[in-house]
Amino acid sequence: MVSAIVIYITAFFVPLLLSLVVLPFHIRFMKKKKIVGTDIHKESQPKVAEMGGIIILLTMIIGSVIAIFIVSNPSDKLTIGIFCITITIAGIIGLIDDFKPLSAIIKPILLLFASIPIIVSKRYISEPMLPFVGKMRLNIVYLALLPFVVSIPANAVNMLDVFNGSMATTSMLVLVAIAIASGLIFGFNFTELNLTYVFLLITLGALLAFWFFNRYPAKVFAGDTGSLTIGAAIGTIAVLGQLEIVVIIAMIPFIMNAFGTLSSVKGLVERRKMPARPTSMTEDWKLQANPDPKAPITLVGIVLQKGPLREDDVVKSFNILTILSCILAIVTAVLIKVTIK
Amino acid sequence: MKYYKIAPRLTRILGLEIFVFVSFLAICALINLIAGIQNDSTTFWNFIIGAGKVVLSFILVGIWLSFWYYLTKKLIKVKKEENLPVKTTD
Repeated sequence: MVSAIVIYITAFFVPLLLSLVVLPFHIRFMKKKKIVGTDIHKESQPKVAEMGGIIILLTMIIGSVIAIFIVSNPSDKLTIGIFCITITIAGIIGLIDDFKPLSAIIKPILLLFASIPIIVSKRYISEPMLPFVGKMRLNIVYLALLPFVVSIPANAVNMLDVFNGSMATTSMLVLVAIAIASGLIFGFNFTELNLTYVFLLITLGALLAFWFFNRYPAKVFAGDTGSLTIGAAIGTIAVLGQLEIVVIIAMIPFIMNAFGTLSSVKGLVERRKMPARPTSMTEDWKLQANPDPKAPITLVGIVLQKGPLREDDVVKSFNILTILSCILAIVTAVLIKVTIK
Repeated sequence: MKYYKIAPRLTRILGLEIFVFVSFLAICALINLIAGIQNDSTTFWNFIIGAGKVVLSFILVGIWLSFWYYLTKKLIKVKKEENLPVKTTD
């Protein structure tokens, strides 16, 4: 029997090392095949390799499959399998979207199907934990909300993937907060296997390696494959780890960004079909909120209210907002722990 | 730019985050009060009271989400008076 520590180390380092090795080849291959996007926020308008998300997805699948082999409990094997299938469905939808853009309505609808493995396998506990209240038995209501647990976070993460490193850093912060919250609620016992940590480490490993190539100035973009995979992973971890409320609080900036877009464009509109872009560039290549009244106002619009910023500073602003929401998520976990004690 | 120099630009949105969190805790405290309502001994009324508690809790969560949405919408009204030369991008 493999010890929990070895499983944790494998879960983290397999996707991390694989991504670190494969991503340079992926970048070279994409550039050779001219599958590149223009980094429009830079004066030199560099061409950047697209679809780095495929590597995130593949390394997470490999990490999950290895975890299935080394975990001894059949129930744990099945739960890891459910995680793997869910992120794969979301990743494939992202892949289709990268090749042939899906409409803003079809994409969230398709993502509803990614929750099917969780629903069918019944690998969830319909008792979300609230501060002061403790466990709330919701049964039918919980089941009715389950289809959205992948679709909403996946789209929210996708909407924040607009600048070099923005999706990777904010998502990593959320994952770290979930890890701390899980430990606070269920105990930091690393000798016993906690599957929430396995999922978190698989996702963190892949994301950390990806961030290394996606940080400012980016050498690769994630595409929808990457952002939908990461969002789906966060949603799945929330349900399988009984951390729904903690994840909602940690994702406050993501939700605000989605609220901003929805309120300013009055509904779901595909990014490429928006009447105007949310940001524009100043003459010294700083980002500013687009003064066009038709422009959707997202989180970056709020961040830029006090004047233009460089792209990397906008990402730092996102990080500050996510750090605060992560602290609040940890406070939520403490309150939940005190309530259920 | 250093993090500590960027943070003061974000006071309004950081304030909104804290407000959203505190109002969520208030909603949780209210749900706790609702959950404490005594159930009836008869099966029918027990079901009605139980369902009522869930509906009331969800209405409260709905109000919280709507208020959050409304405040975000208020916050995003950008000052349009700045007319810097622009190059439209993503």
